Amino acid sequence: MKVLLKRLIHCRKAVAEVVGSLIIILIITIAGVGVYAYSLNVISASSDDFSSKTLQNSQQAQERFGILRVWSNNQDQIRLTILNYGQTDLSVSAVYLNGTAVQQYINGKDITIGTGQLVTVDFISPLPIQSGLSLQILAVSERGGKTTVLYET
Amino acid sequence: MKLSRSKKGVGSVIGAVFVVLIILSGFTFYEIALLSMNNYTAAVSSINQADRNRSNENLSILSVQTTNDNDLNITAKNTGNIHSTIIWLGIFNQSVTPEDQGFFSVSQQISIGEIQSFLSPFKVTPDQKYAVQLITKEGNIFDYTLYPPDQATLALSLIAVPPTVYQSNNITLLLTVTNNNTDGIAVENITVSLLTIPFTLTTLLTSPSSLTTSSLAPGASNFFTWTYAATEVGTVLFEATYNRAPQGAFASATVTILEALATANQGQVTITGTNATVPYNPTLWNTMGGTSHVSGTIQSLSANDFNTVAFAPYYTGSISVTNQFVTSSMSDVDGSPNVGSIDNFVGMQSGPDGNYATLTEEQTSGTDGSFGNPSSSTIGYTNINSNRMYGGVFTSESTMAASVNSITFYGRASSGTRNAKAVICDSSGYILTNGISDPLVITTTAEWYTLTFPEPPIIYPDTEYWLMIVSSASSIRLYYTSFIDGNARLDISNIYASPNDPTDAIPATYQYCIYANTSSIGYRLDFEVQWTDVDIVAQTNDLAIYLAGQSRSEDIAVDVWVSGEWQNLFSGLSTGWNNISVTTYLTSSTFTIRFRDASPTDSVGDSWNIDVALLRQISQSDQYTAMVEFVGSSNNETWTSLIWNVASQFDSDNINITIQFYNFTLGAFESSGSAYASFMSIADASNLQSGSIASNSSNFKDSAGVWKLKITAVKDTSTPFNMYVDWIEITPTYISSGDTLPYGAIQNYIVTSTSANDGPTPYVYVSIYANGSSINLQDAITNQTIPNPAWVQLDSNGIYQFRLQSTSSSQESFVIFASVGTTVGRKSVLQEAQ
Repeated sequence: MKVLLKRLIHCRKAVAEVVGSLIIILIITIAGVGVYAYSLNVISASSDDFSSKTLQNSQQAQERFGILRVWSNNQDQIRLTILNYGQTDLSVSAVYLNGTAVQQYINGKDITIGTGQLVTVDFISPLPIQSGLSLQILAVSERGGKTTVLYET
Repeated sequence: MKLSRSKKGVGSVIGAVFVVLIILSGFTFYEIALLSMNNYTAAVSSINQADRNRSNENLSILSVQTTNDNDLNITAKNTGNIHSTIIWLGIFNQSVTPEDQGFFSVSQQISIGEIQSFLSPFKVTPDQKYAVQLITKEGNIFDYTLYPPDQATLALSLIAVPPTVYQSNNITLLLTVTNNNTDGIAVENITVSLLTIPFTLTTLLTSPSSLTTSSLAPGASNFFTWTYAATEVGTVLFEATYNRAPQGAFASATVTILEALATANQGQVTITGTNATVPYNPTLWNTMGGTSHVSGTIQSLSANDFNTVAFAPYYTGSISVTNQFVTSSMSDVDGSPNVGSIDNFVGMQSGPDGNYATLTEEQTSGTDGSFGNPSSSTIGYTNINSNRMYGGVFTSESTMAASVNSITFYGRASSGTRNAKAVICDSSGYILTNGISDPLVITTTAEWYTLTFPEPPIIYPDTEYWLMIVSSASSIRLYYTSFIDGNARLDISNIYASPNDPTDAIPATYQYCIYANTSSIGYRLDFEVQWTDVDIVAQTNDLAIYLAGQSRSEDIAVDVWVSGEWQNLFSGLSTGWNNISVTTYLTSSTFTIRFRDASPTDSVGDSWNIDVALLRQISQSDQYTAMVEFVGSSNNETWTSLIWNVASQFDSDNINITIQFYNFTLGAFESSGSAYASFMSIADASNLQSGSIASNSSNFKDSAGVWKLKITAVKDTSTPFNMYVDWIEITPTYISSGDTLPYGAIQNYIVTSTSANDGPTPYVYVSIYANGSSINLQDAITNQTIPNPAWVQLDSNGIYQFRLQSTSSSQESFVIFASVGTTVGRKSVLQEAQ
């Protein structure tokens, strides 16, 4: 009888230890899941940001374009023929004449130019076009690439 | 116990699993980052390779010809180090304005060193100017310009060999057509023609297989040969030209045909001089303006060897002064309306001429105040009986003039009601203008009574006044607070109905409870004027105002509007000119000042006469100029063409340099054309300018053979630069028989061999030898040096052309021998001393 009682007592102590252990395991599990989820989120965000910036830099480095020819109607309209000879598509987002930004585009702005392709960008000159005028024409791509040409009207 | 330990182990394992997962995630991120970097590196490496390919790519457009179908036949050679792919062809018609532009997609592969021709997918209009662009996959552009003959410059040279022949002998005409356009222009479809005058003296034996050259590249020459038989005695003129040549573009040669010798002709070898070229360098220079010589000698100019002559420039900057008169009186930059007025504003916009604008102050009202004794701590009163006027003596406020709105006194009627009037007098007892108030009923209640003036009298600051009360009946009690000697005035003989000056009032000691209620007033001026469209780049900007006069002594101040507030420029203007620098304030094209009276609280209106208000702007443009004239000597021959070279260097960028030859026919330095050049300097970079004068080249020397050119270097700068001239040389070409040679001249000769029957001896070998001490020989066709003696082969017409240069420092005579078999041709030559 004494032995049975003793065992019962021992058994109850074991139950408490099991419950305690389970609670500890639960806490560790929850904490582990939380830390893991947080770290996964941080790592994933950093990874995406890094990949995105690297891709952007790659595309910027691969960008090459040039102004092949300039045409003017000797009044107010100017046309640039632009060649993309880089390794990525691009588009022309701004044109400057002697540092003055073009405000009025007729066509060609923001049009995607494939590799090896030409596009003509027509616009109204922000400066009066006079005979013998020297214009430094700067074309800027949406990624910030630049090309310039000197044109005499 | 085992179970307990086992469960603790499970917790550790779970924790460890998550740690491992986090570490694995980190590795994954590292892998992704590594992959991105690899991709980036690969992209950069690829584009760098493309850049290298682009710099290694080179195509030479050998010719562009118009076919019978009006296509362009383009021939290009890959002279670069990589395989080229032409992906776009640009064709631009420059004969119309604006030019017609067309880009055509092509795919033309050209391997290294390969020459390829292809047709344009576009038909051109004949006889029009076209520019052609080849655009490669690598992004390189190669240009070619094609002109019709009538719009290009071609040099013609016609040589008749021999110049004198016997009847029935043959005459050989050699025509050289050279494209000497200096700006890279090719000429297409040139068809030459030869005219014989008179045509009866000769008979055509042979003519060129084709008289047409489809395309002549820049600098290239084409040769045409005719053979005529001299049939009749006389002088025959040959004139060669080309289709649609500009006026004056022809070459001529004259041949004298002599009567045939009685004896039978023998084979002969003749040596005929055609033309010569001699290089000349300057013998002196003349510095012009303030240009100064720094270092070097005239001998330094004889070779392009970086042994230079240095010149320093002189200052040629200029100062311009602009007077900009005030443009507007309508501005309101401070949001406050103008105070005061301006009359005849235009008078300020010119002069000084006595026609002036007048600025006048405006009367303004200000804050309320009072003076007198406002205390009601009374200690007694005085009865003002009927037609008596009592009051106190007080000093007005010291700040500014004021209008007196009313007078208030502490008192009461002795009984019933009484009427009272207030009177204000000056320190002598004279009533001020408008100094009598409206009447007021006074009751028996002791209190403050205020008597109002229907039209407020004006008082001056810090001035003594009498504040008086006159009663209609006995009596009104006027209370006092103390006794002060002389502080009261009592007039016992006045009239209530129409009060008069209480000059006979007697002084008393009562400090009456009476004061005057005032509103400050002042005459002010605050008037803006403005300049618009002001040039803000001028280095010096002065504001100048001419004050012609003023009504009184009050000063007129001037402020400038800057950064949202007024800053004082003048505290007062003096009569005449008043000048002050405003450069620091001139930050925009609008410039605003205001005229302001120095005493805004004065009681008298002033006016000022402004004859002129202007901005005096001084612009200084720095500039340095170096100008040197170089003079040289030459010969008295008739020049057929002239080539010139000028090598120079500068120690600064963007200097505008012009090189001008003096045209002795015009009497002026050339300002355009082939005897003129203009360029911009690149610091410390040697620059070689060359030119070719194809016609009227003798205009560039005088009758004594003196020539001169001027080099002008100009830069807008405040820093002097240095001009280094390295090499100046002219090389005229003139018709020369080759009998006498200047030292170093290059003489062209033609060796002609004929057989006994006067026919040419084509392809036979001839020995050429000149027995001078310093002889150089050169093949005139291949430009290759040949030995002396030389063993050369005649061409199909029995002709050999060569050049000879003799450089013996002292005068020397020698003989040129040309031997074909045993037949020897001789020519004696005298080379002049150095």
